Amino acid sequence: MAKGAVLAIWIVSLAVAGLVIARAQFTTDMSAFLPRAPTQVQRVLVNQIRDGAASRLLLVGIDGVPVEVSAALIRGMAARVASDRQFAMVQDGEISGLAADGKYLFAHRYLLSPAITPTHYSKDNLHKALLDDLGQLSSATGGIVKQTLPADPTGETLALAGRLADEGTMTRHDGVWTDAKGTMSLLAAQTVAPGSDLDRQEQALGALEQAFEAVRTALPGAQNAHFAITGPGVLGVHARAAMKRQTKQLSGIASGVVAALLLAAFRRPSILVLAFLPVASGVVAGIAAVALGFGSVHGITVGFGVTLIGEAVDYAIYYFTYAPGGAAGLLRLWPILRMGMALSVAGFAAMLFSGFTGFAQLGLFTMAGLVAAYLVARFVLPVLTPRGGASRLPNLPARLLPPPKLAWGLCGAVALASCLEVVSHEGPRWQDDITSLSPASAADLSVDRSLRAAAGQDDQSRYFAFVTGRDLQAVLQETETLVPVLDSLTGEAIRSYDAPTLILPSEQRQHERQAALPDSATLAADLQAASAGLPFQPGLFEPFLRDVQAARTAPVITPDTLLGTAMRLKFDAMVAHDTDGWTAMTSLAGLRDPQSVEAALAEQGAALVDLKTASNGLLLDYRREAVTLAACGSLAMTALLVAVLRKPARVAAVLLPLALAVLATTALSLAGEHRLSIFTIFGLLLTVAVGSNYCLFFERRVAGEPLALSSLALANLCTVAGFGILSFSAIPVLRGIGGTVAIGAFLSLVSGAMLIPPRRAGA
Amino acid sequence: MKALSVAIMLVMALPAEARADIAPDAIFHTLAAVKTSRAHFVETRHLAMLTAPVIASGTLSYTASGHVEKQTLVPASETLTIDGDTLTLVNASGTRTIGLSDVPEIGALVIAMRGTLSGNTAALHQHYELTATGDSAHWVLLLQPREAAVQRLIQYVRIAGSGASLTEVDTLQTDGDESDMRIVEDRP
Repeated sequence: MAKGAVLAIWIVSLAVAGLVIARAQFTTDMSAFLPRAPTQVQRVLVNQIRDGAASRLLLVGIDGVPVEVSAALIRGMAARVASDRQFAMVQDGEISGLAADGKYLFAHRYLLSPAITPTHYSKDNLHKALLDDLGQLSSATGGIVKQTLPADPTGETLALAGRLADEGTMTRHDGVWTDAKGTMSLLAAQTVAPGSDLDRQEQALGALEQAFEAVRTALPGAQNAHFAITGPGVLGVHARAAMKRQTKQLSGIASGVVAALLLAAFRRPSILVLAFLPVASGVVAGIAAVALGFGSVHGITVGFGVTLIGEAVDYAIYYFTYAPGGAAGLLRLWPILRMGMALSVAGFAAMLFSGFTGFAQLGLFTMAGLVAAYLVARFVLPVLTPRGGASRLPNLPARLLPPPKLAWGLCGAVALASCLEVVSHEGPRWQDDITSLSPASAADLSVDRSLRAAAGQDDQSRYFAFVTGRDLQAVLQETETLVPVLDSLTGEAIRSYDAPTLILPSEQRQHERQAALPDSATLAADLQAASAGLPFQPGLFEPFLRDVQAARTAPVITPDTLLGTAMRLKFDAMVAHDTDGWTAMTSLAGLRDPQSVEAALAEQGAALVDLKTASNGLLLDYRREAVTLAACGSLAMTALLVAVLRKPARVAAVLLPLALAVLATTALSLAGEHRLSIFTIFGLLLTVAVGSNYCLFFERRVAGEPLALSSLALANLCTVAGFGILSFSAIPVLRGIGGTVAIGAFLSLVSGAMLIPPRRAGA
Repeated sequence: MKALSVAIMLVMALPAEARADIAPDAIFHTLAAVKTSRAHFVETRHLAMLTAPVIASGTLSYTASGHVEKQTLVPASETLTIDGDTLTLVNASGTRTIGLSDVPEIGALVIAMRGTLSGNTAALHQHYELTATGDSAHWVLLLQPREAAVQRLIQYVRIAGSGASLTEVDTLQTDGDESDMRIVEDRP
């Protein structure tokens, strides 16, 4: 092909890819690295993690100063951000902040109260209620009872409030929430933006930090106040910042080191630029492919993808070291490179089927990137620099390697030691705690734990009774059929429960309650009879008669009626819907006997969900998937090797060093971190992709030839440096993949060099 | 300033009978010396809602500084405990723990009684305007709330006593309802 045509095709392709990229949508939403969850419970879980009410919660704790001061700080902050449109709710514990909730309960008490049955307002029951009222009036709470007595002599409002007032269990100082020890003052805020919208979460975080600073400078004695904040949004914002910073820093350092290595090897700056051409073209092709395939490109896909196709730098290195040898050398190089590229593509193709959108994107990115990088190395580099690196790298003599017997003995010993190490861990141990996946820093997670514990949230909302249905009314009705079961379990298998229908009953149930209310003549007559002999002023209960009458024909309450109350947020956290329908979760506190609860719920068609098990189960699923995908990738690579090399002995020669490298890397990871994570698996897949290139070179070596070790060593050095630097990251995903690949690539090179026998000359 | 404080100390040192009205702080001084006490009470409430008063009775106990327990025995058993800023109420419907400031209906009265018993004048002055009449044998302390939120509920709390003992706590609410608690201290 004419040189001009090659360059033209290359430039036009880049331009087209550039156009695609210019029109592509880039996202930073971390949820791309949450899976497309397979079960409905998991889907709800993932949606809750991304956008649910819980994801919008921010928790602020202030300590380090006397509690009077921290309480004043919290109150000042609350006053400052209360009118901020970013926040749906700001609560510092002040009961007056719940005024809207009290009004809602009072106004709709006859539709809300589970006590309303046809006999609730019988003469006898009214008489009992009135006697009880007299007792209440002489009690310490008489002053409170008095306020609602004329309109609500049966105490429905107080009963409802008592049922819902979990806030009442929080300790307070001067009306502001504190932790149980009374040393830290607390504030809860709910953002309008979902927890996964990190840009808006960052704004909300900034608003709270500013409010704190403003109040602190104005308040005497508050200089030493310590401000802590947590929430899914905060963790996300911090993790994103750390990820950006570390990826930038570490990949900056890694690129610098690789550039220095190349410069030292080839001593020509122009070679340096040319060496990055295949990778750069691969990145452009990768982004464009993802944009076309997925509609949008995740920021992390780009960041990681560049790392994953780092092996393309090797293509250039191989070209520069082979080209001075003339056409004969190149004729041998290209088939090896093509095969290596095809093996990597076959391995990474498995990632396309990952449930994580992010990993699927990475798979496509890598495949497109490697193909493009190979094509550029194969066709463009020879046009731009026909003679490759000006000077040949010195060839390393074959005697550097130990004699075959020693090599096999050495490798056998390593394999045995690795097996023993793995066995000593009772097989590969997995990191199955979902927090190991979290990109949040350990410091942030510890703040999160302590603030949640301070707010009494640590164990709450772990167990749920879970129902599904086609619409809101269906799930509310389903939940209402659970209530009698839950009532019978309360005090035995569970301590208490909190159902969304306590906040908003189904319309059907509301109509039933309306029908159970007596007409005004009957109620008036029964009330008259019930109060005979009791010292209530005549006419005292007129408001009661009037309200019951109004409730009989009142419009039903809907989620909109809840607007402006804190209960609305709670309701939204419990009831969710997506394209598959609706779900409602009733939280169960103090669960003692999961089996009997599960059985009792199953009879009513509801499921018991343990969020911790469910989220860890989610991780287990990702991990199984990763193992399956890695296995499929390995199979695809083996199949390709068999198809090309044909002879089982040659296939085995290539596979054996790779297997040894994978085994030894696994053992080293176990020895270092004690646990394998999902990231180790992706790291191993990458190891095999890179290592197989080395093995292919060794496999093509003919006996008596000098070892092509120098170019491989240079390529390997670049890989180890690049990934090794990533392994210093505090972020689990970077550390996991970086460390695994650095170790694995090195071991592949060494074991490949030692174990793969050269071909007999002329074979 | 120094002369003034010397003068106050002199006045305080005078025998109480020598003055027309006792100073509030003198009452608190006597009460603060009490480390623990127990008493019986009968509380009569006159409520506009009712055609007859409701009457409750039980025991009161106080331990320095600031721990108050009011145990109602008739008409129904109920225990109200105040410790620090927390109020715990135990009755037939269960146990409730509430912050004092969350329920001014109960909190205001509790602050008045406990402040008087413990001689914690700072807390009392913060929440109430204080006036004392009588002498140390028969004193009366009138507490009028300073805060608007409490003024909406309570006009005044009147605490009468003799020496280091409380004999009566009378509360007039803003809506006209009145509670009158007679106290008889248990002799040790």
